[in-house]
Amino acid sequence: MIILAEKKEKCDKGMLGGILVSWYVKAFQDLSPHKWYEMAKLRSDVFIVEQTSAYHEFDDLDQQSLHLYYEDRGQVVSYCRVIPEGYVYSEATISRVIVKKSHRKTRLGKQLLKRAVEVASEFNTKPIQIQAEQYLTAFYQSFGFEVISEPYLDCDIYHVDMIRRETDVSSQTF
Amino acid sequence: MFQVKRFNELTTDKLYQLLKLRVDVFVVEQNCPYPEIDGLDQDCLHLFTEEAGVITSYCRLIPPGVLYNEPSIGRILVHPDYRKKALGRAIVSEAIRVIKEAFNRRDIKIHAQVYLDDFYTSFGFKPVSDEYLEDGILHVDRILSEDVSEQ
Repeated sequence: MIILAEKKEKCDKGMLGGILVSWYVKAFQDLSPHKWYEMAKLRSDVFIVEQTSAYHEFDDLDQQSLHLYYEDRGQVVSYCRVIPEGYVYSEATISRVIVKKSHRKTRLGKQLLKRAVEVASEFNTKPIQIQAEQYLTAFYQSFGFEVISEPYLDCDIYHVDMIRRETDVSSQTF
Repeated sequence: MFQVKRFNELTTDKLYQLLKLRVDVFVVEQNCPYPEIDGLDQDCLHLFTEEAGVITSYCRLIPPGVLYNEPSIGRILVHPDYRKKALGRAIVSEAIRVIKEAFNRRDIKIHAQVYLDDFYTSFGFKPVSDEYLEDGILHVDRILSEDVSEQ
């Protein structure tokens, strides 16, 4: 991963089948309006429209978050945000985890989460708490998250709270 | 008082505020999980008023040929805490004026929510379709024609 220190951005570019693909981690302040719009549209399309949930998708936590995303030919196709400790929970958290419909079943979600855990835990030194959609419990367990609540309804979708303690994820397979 | 910005003139912070308010009103308040962020905004002019850093009213002006052959006004809203102050009337009047100036067109077609019939009629917008349901909300297409807007 290349760290562009002067802009506090991280970028990891590569070629996949002759196509330029890139992972990015950016602070809100470093996102252009065009790039933010793309992410906002993807989030609205997935969490409001696809999940038919009329909820406050934009909660004013984004300005404090790091935005982790993957671009395929310049288009954001996978995304999540990492919220630092102290905003939602005393731990850092990962939320709005998305793989665009066109790119599902390609294991992109696993790559996204692996990178998000690295960013949020600052490479396994700190715990992460998340509010997970319950049907994805096994997915998050594979990254070392444990269930710490009963299932509950939030915006008509079952969730569980999960925590990933200070463990070394490097021995796990993704 | 009124600010008009092309998409490229918006900061990411301002765009966030506008999109958040639109989702809070059209998705949450109207309980309508529809594609609020539809990919047309990059082509639009964004008209809004602001008070102490709060967007108090907003709409987007859609150039001719993007949604309809005619220019259009969409996503017209007044912040919930600033209603009953005639801000809606003020921003629609300003939108009609800016459209004439920016797009050099006097006709405007809108996709109006039926419960606002009297409001749009008072500006001269005439119904040009039957009422229809879209995303669970009754709508009617309306046109403000050149001759009416000149009155």
